[in-house]
Amino acid sequence: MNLTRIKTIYFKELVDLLRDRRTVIATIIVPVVLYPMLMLFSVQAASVQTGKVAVEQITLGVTSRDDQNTILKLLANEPTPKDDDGKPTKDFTPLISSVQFRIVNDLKEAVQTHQVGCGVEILKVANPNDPLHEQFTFEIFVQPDQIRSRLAANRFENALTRIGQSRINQRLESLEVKRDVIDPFFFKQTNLTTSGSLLGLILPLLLVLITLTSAIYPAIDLTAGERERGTLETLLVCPVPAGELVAGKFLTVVTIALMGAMLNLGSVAATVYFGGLTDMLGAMDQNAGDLPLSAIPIVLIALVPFAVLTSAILLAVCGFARSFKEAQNYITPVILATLMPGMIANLPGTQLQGPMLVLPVGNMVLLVRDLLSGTQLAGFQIMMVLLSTSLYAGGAVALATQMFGREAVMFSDNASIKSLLSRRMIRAGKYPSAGLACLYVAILFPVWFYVQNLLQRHFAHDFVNVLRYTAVLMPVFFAILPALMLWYFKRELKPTLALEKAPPRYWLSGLLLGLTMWVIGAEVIAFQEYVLPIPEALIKQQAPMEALMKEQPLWWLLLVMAVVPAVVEEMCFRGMLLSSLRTNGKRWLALLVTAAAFSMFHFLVYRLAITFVLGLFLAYLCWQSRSIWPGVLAHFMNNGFAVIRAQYPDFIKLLGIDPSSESNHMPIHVVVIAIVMIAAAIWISRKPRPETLA
Amino acid sequence: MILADNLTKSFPTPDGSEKQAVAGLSFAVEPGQIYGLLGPNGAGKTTTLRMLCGLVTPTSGRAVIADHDVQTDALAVKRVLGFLTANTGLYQRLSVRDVLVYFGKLHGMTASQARDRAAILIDIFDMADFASLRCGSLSTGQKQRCNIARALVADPPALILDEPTLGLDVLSNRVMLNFVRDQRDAGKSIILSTHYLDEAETLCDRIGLIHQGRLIAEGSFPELQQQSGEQRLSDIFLKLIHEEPVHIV
Repeated sequence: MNLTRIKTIYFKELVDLLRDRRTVIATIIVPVVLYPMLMLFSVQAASVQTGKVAVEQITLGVTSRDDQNTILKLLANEPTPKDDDGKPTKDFTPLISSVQFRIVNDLKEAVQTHQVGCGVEILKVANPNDPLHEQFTFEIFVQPDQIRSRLAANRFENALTRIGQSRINQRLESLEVKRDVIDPFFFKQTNLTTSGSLLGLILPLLLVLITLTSAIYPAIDLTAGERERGTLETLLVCPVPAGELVAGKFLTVVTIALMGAMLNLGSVAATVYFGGLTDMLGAMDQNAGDLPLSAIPIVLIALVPFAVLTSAILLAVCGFARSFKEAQNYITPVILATLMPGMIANLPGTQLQGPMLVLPVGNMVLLVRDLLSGTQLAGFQIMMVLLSTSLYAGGAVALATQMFGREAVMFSDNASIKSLLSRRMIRAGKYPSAGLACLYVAILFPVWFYVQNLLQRHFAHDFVNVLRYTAVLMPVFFAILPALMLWYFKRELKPTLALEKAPPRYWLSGLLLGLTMWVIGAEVIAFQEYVLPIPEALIKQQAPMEALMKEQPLWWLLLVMAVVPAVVEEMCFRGMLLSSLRTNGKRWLALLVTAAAFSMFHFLVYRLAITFVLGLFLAYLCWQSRSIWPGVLAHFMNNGFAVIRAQYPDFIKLLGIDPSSESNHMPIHVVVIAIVMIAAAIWISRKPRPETLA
Repeated sequence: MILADNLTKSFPTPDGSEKQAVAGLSFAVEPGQIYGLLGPNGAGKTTTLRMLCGLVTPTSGRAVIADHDVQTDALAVKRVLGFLTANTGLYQRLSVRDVLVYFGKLHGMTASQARDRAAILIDIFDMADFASLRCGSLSTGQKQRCNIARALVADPPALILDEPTLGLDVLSNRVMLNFVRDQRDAGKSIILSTHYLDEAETLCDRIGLIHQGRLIAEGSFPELQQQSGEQRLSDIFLKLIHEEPVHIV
């Protein structure tokens, strides 16, 4: 990657877009002027409408003049309600001043045809005209799906409840009983909501929508638009790799999307603070409260990976389109598909946990909602949302790069898209492209997370069954499906999955790594404890698992926890993913990407560091040896030691380690030996194996 | 030098079969030579030129530009190649100068090198009057001059020109033809694809006639006249497409 060239493309695209009136309107004018206006207008209109309905006259349907008079007589005695401090509520309007009656024959029909708000029939009156013993039985006819009918019934019932309460008090007084002796419970509610429930509900989805819509125009313009104007062909004959072109364009789209999101957020905040929206919302909803200013920068940071994701998806989708119009057609289902998880997340009561943590878009809506409402979030939750979104974004960028400038998309007729996927038209090659492998890994990430969640939920605490099914499903998702994909795309399985034999020196490296990686892993965990201690709850949660492990046969545990993961994870990460990154030749980038992906698949933030470090060693070994087998050995030994330690905690006494020691650190002599052995392993495999063995 | 060696390209068709757009095309263009690639619509000219630029991957065969293989060293090829078509667009919201500087930078020049090169090209193509105007506001002729300058930003030794005079008025047409001649005189290898056969007659040193993806005749204009017995290129072409392919060396 040539950063100078990417910068050139980025600035050119940015200048080009910002000179376009349509971008300026969509990205600046609309959020800064139109949205606040719309928001103010719609909230005002809603507030006026709610207020109007709340105080407007209600029409009660009755069947006789007698019923009307009885109800009027009752309503004449409606007391003024009191607040928490016992003072009469201000601005209270008794129902009698805003009610009118209509005498009808059929109450049901009158309500259904909206002649009256609700219908009231007095079914029975016991002890009439004796306030101390009088009892009424009413039947209320209401249509709950009609706001006017619902409000009329509510207001009538509330008025009667207040009158009833007042009569109870009178009756108690006549019996010389105090009301507070009777009441078993007293309540005082303290509202802890820090942001408006309305804003909290609207804003996350609105921000997601705005970020998405801000990215649409630039994404189309920079791909299908460029193609339509005939400049794409010119660009593609320049000596610039497709990856750099996509990177420059992608950064431009991200910038515009973030600009849109930022302007919107600022605009919403300004509208809320300076436009009197808080008061209006407060008038509509007592929980409206304030929008926490402090949350805004965090929300913006959280929006970055989302902007990255949407920009990449849009670029990839628009890359298929031959014209502006065609791109718009493609984008409509994408917007719907994007909003669907967002809407699911926005459902009341949905929490940022379990599968919602990795639900694309949905997790971002929940994160923004929780940040805005000041809900306490665990680092793990934020990390999962950001990491999963980044991973999906990576997959989408990879797809965009893969598609950009493809001749089938650029020049062919309607058969072009088909020809991209038709196996017959795919040119055979050795390694898959980085885009293809990254896309598979990005899709596998949520799928595997859901599979794991499903297994754990289905088998509840049956750890053994979870392990059994994991061991069966792992080869399917991490080896068989990648192999099928590689076959379909006509890639060479053996070199891609690095299934070739390795010379003995790499086996020796693998052996040394296998013997020592667990020590390094333990030290990583020990140092991590200083900054990110593993919560007690998690340790307790794992305790029954460890107890169960002791009951299982060692061979079985070794099979499902060491052999299977070692083989299939090596095939997927150090095989397919690492091989796909070989073509760009940047070893350290390939190792870092592979290790990062490997660590993310362990889903727990406390295991990120350790799996990253181990992943780095394994990736190095595979890169040098072009074979996964030495890594499989090291991986197997590492997992195997963990299993053996769980079954035989005293096993490490052999190494002079006290298993009951308080310290998380390994004894210094063990660490030194481990470092020396790892250095030796790296030194032994320092010379990369040639592509073809002699 | 530009070399096409047995180039073949097949496309899938909607009914699932394959259509051969170019079938085993071979020719070479020496430095200081204009090679006219001529043929009716759908003959495979544009596909061939796109294969030479690396925009389309050949189904088989190979293309070499200035000793770089298009398939294995596509970026190196693009560094030594200027590409211009009638449909090549310009960035409407950038000025002529901006466009030239941008493409200069994409060819690896520093900002100051790109600015200097743009100034030279603006001078050569007499664009000083409109160099600061946005391309969207230029006339067709001005746009084409800007496009020529864009193709020459890196002063490439090989040029591929696909219908460069399509839709141009007489004056702009003359500018374009003069440019092609000047580039030939500067020692560049040039492929010119055009439907204006009189242009090809006067400009091209060698002519390749393609029909249905195959080269049906190749040679200099006098050689083609002699072989076919016809005087005008259009007559030669019409006669040849009804006969067996003849190769004149």
